[in-house]
Amino acid sequence: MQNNNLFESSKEAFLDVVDANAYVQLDRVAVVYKSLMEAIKKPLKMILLYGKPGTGKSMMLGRIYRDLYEDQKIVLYQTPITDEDEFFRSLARDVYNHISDETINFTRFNELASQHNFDTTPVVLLDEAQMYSPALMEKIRLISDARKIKFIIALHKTEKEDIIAKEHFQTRIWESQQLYNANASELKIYIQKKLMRANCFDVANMFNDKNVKLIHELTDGNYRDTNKLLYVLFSISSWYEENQPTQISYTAISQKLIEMAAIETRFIHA
Amino acid sequence: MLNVPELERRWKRYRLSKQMPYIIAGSVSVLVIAGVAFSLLSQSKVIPAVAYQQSKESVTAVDATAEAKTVEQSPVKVLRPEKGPSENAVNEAAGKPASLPSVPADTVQQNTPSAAAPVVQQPETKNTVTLTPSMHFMKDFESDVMDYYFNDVSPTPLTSNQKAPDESRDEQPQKKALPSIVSEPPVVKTPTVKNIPPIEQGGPSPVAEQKQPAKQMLIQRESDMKDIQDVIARFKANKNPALSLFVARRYYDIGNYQQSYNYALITNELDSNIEDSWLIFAKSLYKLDQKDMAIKTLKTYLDESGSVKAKIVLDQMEKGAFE
Repeated sequence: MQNNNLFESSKEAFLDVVDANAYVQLDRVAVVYKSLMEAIKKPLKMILLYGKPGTGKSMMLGRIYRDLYEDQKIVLYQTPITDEDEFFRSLARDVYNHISDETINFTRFNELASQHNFDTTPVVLLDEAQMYSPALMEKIRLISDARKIKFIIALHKTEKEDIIAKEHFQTRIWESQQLYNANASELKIYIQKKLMRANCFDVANMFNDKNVKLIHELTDGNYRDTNKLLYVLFSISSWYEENQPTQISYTAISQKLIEMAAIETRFIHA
Repeated sequence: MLNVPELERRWKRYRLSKQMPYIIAGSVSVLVIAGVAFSLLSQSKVIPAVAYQQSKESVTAVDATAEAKTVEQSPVKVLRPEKGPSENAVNEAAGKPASLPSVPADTVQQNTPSAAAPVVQQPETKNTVTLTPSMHFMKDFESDVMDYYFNDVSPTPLTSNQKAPDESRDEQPQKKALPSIVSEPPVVKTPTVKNIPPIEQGGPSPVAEQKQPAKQMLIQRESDMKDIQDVIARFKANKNPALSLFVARRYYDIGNYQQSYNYALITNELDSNIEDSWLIFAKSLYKLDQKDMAIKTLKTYLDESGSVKAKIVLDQMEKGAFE
């Protein structure tokens, strides 16, 4: 059904969901992606992907999973499995197709791993790895050292978690990649690509450098915050289009609407 | 669900609070600029006013000094019209002691020059300026009298007799040819000086003492003396003949004829073209009972200058009507 409201489809493009198909390739992110793909091919024990929340770690893991899914054994755990038995049971099922009601502990999982051989080492992507317990993380390290499974661990790079990461993986991780917030130009490309993918070309052209600069100042280039802000922005724009169409401009996004969206999303405290 | 109207109100409050510092800063800057501009404008208004006031004061001062110079250089012309009532009162008081108590002290004080002679005389000189028409009247009157004297009384040997009335108005041309008393024949000067005993500064002459009547007169004389002493001090400093002439005239006015004689002689030695030095010299001699010498001096001066005033005074002395 054709949506007559210009901003409704634009709003939907910025729903904060992890969809590898909605992944926007930016230059700096593309470098990280390429590095990760090359690291996967190398005989590395573990790969660390870290960055602040909303910098695209989950999207990156999703993109890797989508790209490697058809070529090799790869498993993505977007939600942490904190229970050790469940974790190993899920891992045996997804990697080795071992489905059983028996309890699978670390020893039993090593026995299963020794029974299966792959041309390419299976890859397991663990998102939100900071949620795993240190004991489980230590067992994950031991599995990596045995080169049975290659783990790509994504975690938040906070000051505290950075210390944890160093303690657990300083000597074991051979490759680490960091994701950053976007700068203003990257953010403009990100917004416009997202809109054009949603066939919102008119709305994409309404963003000028001044708009994007303001959005970047409000969100600090964080993709998740930008999605949140733009979702509310297009919601407000949609309301004006339906109720007070004379109050909005169709040639440029007004600063007023951006600031109203920022107030609503608490980026501006008013 | 978005409440866009409420969100818009919050946004307006946010914009207002965000722009408030700029509004305050702009308002303050505007006020500061306005204040500076106002102060500059007020100063620019005050300065011309002050300049005008200063120029006005300077003009007044110039007028005062000019008038003071006029008083000093031609005291007879300036003082004659206004000293009528006052000096007459003084003279009457000097000549008639019995009538002195009836003279109010204020009148004497006002007519008595104070220590700051030019300042005190400013209003008098201003009055003199306003009385300028009466000066023309006096000159006309004098010229008429001169015509009468030259036509009827004495044919003078001077060839410039016909010019005498005009010259009496403009004293400069005739003064060029005048000899000083010093250059006069010894008959005029020497005997006079010898006959008069040395005069003490400020000391009242016997004749003056005879005419010193009462306490009121003493008060006036003290003021006069203070005034005279001040002018004498100034004269000693700059040897200005106008000052010595002023002293001579003041001494003559208060009845100290010996000192008026001395200062008239000093003035004449400094500038023999000053007519009043001759006249006060002769009048002082007359008052000192040197009537013959006074008449002789006036005749000598009259022969050289043809002065109308000298002619009038000489006529009065010869008739015994000079007072």
